[in-house]
Amino acid sequence: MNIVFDRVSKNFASQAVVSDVSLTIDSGEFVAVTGPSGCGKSTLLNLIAGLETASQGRILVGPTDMGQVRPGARDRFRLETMGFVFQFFHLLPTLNVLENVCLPMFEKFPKQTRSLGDEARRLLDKLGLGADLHKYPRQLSGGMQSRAGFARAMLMRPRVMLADEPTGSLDSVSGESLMAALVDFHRSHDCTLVLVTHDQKAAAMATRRLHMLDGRIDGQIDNHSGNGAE
Amino acid sequence: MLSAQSILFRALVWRTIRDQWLLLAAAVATVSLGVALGFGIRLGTESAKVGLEENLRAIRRGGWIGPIHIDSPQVRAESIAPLAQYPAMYLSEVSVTAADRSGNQQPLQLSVFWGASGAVMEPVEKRLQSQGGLAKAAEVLFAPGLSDAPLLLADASCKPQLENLAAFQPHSEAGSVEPISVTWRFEDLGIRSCRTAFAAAHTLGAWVPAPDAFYLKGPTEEAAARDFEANLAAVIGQIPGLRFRSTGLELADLGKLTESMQINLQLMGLVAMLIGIYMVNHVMSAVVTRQSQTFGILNAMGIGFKRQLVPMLGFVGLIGTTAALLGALGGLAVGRVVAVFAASSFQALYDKRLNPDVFDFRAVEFVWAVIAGLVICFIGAFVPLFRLWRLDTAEVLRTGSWHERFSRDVWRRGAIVSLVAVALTILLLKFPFFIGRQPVSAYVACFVMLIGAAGCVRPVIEFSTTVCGRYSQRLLWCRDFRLFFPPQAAVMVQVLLLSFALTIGVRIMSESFRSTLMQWTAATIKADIWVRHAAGAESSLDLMLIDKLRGLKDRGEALAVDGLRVLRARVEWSSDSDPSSAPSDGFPIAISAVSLADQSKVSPLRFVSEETSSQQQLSQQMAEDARSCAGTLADPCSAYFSQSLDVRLGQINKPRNIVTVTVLGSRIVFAKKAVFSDFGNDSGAVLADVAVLERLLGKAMPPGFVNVYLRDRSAANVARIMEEISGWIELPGKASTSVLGAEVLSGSELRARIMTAFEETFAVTDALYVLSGIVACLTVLCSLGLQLLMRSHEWTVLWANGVSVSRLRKKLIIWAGIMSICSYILALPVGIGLGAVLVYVVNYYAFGFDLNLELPLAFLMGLGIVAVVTGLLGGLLTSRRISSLCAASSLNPE
Repeated sequence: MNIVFDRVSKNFASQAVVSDVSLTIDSGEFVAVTGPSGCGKSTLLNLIAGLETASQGRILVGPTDMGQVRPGARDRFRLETMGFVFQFFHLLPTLNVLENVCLPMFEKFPKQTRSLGDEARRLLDKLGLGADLHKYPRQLSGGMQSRAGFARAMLMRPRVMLADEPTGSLDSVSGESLMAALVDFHRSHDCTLVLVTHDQKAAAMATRRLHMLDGRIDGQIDNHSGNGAE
Repeated sequence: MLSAQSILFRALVWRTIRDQWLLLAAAVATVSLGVALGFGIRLGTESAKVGLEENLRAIRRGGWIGPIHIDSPQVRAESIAPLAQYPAMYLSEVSVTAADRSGNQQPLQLSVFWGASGAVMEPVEKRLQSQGGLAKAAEVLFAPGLSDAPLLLADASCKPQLENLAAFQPHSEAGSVEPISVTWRFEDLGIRSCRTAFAAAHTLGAWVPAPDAFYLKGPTEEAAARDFEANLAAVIGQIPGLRFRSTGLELADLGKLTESMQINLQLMGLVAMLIGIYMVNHVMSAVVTRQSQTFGILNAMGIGFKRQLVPMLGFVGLIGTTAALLGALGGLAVGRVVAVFAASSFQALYDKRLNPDVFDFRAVEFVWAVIAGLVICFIGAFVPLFRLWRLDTAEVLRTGSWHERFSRDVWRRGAIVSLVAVALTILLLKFPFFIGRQPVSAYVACFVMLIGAAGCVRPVIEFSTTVCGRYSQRLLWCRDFRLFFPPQAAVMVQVLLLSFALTIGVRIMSESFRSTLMQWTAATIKADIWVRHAAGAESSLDLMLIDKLRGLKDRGEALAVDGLRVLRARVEWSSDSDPSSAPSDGFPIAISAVSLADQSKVSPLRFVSEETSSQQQLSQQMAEDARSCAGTLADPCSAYFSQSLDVRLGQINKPRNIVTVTVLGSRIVFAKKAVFSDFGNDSGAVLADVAVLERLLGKAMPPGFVNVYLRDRSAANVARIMEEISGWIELPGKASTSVLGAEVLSGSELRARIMTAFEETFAVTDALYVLSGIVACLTVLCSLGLQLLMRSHEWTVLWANGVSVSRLRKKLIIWAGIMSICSYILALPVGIGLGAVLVYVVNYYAFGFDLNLELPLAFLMGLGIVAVVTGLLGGLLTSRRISSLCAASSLNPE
């Protein structure tokens, strides 16, 4: 599913956080967004997810104009289309690992809870969390939480995967492991992956790297061809 | 079995229930109390109404025409002769002192039947025998004739009546008067009432106490009915101030009074419910704030707010159902208490006995109470849940928490709400509207006032926060204010404000009652010794008494002797400037006569307004009028009007200064010279000069009552003098001083008896007051707990940055106290306003009570201290949880 930004700006209290960004991300592409703190990376991601609406311009995710759909429909679109991996994993503290992973999936496919539950167990087992299905987030290490968060997003089989600094709070080993899983998922499911990161090694895995500064995209590098542009 | 629904419920609701059950329980308790108060009051007062209706049904079952009440203190015996041909009777229960065979005096209660065609005494002998073979001590007064009448039962629970304490016992001076404290109970027909009367052997021509219930067995034939009505009309025309009222009408009036009481008391219940709404609002605000990250994450995953609302609404429904059911069940208990108190109040105030066992429980009302509880919860939860729509998901994901930002909207909204509330309150009070005699506009004004006050809390805190922001660098407490008294505390302050305002308002109302009554008793019963005696036209005893009492002046005790003559006759009256106009509708007025030439007799009255410029000028004018006025429209006699009559005049007599009364067929026109405040009276009074009445009515003037009171000027031995006076009026062989319609009491005893009656009447209000106090305390504790919960992450961060746990605790406790006292200070004007509306508007229009607003300063100061202490205590209890929050794990933004 492709993503198109058409002269998009986002202002907070008259301050432009994203400024006049035009961008196209092709379906199945893996794009990494880098840049200093406060440059607008996360806002860009939130705009794609429809968590925030653009002050100006148009954002298309596939055929859907995110600015035009009603909030309820936007939520539904996000549920059916996107997966989100957060820096702090954002597991719900009141639910155990299995429930955290299953919740959005059950929302999406309410009649297939049994089969999806089994699928969730298999996936968590594969990610090394098979023994921790009934543990609560506070009982898990950072790496385990990250894998659970990733599993939650992955199980949805999203066509767009959004990852907001997923390795930012992990040690290098856990970070690499998570990135490997992300890339693997991207390749196997041919989903569009947008990764916001400070980690240059993670960014290097992307097919294209965008650099943001002061709310604008001030450069991009095609990692395969090595061509860059201002 | 896992499902999205169950997982969502666990994510959003379960943990809150598990971890915060104590706070939720407090919220449930608050709502429950509100429901219990509202429902219980309704049940209790409805039960009282059912009790009244029971009496009516019993009367109808009895097959009597009427019953007719004769509303006059005394009539001439022959006056009711035209009715004597009809089977009629007057039923009474009499307390007598009887001697047994060994000569010992024993009090007894006897049933006496009176009949206009020849009354009978109930089988006294039979009763006496049943009491242990006592000798007959009271002679049968009239010939037997109604032996088939239902048996009357003595009712020892009849208490001294306020009316009878304040006024005087009627009696027959022409016969030998037997005891007082007559009570009767028409048990067979279900009529229960306490009455005072005298069993007296009298001659026709004497002034006798009017039988106040005159039951006429129905003349079934049409001609007989017409004949009866004609004779009734003749009696009405003949007897001054006599009014016949059917029991149905009287009970219907009482029904209206019950409705007044019901609405008045339910106002308290409704305000408690309003507090419940704010309490739920507070709890749900805390839950939403606390769970904001969960909402944000769910939203980021595509689970929209609509979907999240389902478990939240279920949560509210759970709280609501629990609270409503508990409240409705509690309401049953409260209702029983109110029913008993209402029956007691009716007895004390309105001379009517109600069956306290009547409890009008209706399942449908129970269901309505449960629905009301649920509605309260959903209304309270509406705003916090509505805020979910504005949740800034991106901010939640970024920072882990979410607070609504300050905006000018808050100012604007708060300012608009407050201004509209003030304007609306003024309009509602200025232009009242009624349903029946209920000042509905005043009830609405109370709510508008409370909601307006609650609405301006947030802007006040925002303003204070903004101001403090400018000085927080220099002033440490300013920084603390912003930290510990944030805008989120507004809901807590609102809840406390409402609780305190309710407490203050109710207290002001009951204190105003108490204070007015005390002022009234102090003004009316100011003597140290109080000798009261009915004064008949031919009475010699009162003259003897007065002579003897005047003699006391020459004695060492040097007591002052004053007299006050009161004519209790209720008269026909009109308020138009044309004396020949028809009398007004049944609004009762009475004439009281005093010697106005001596202003000291009336000076204790609190004058509301005077037509002349000074008291001295007024005195001179009144004295002159007393000598020469003709009592005509051209030359009216001066009089003081009670405030209730003055208000009445304002409604029907534009000039508002003329009242024409008909006494003994003569019309006398009185002009208003001053208006005095009359305690708790829903009837009017004209205070006229006794000399005027004597001059215009002569000997025909109906008998009144002489009150002789003695004022101690030299610390005399009051007890000894009372004993001496009692000796003068006692008959040989009688131990009681309460004979011959005379009574000797000390002023303090009389005042105490009246206050006792008041306290009994107001017991229900006091009970409700205690409940509202419990609501206030619960809200303090619950609110502080919620405040701690809402801001737990901030405390953890402060701790992590070096603020010690003990310091945090200390500050939390201090600021809890400050919040509580601030709420109290804001509640003061609101509570006083609420009290003023209850005193000046609600009680005035609904009951006709004319009260002086009394600010219970000691109570207000005490409540201030209680507010601080409760706040500190609440802070202390909640701060104990600080240590559990201050852990490294709490820093994790969950």
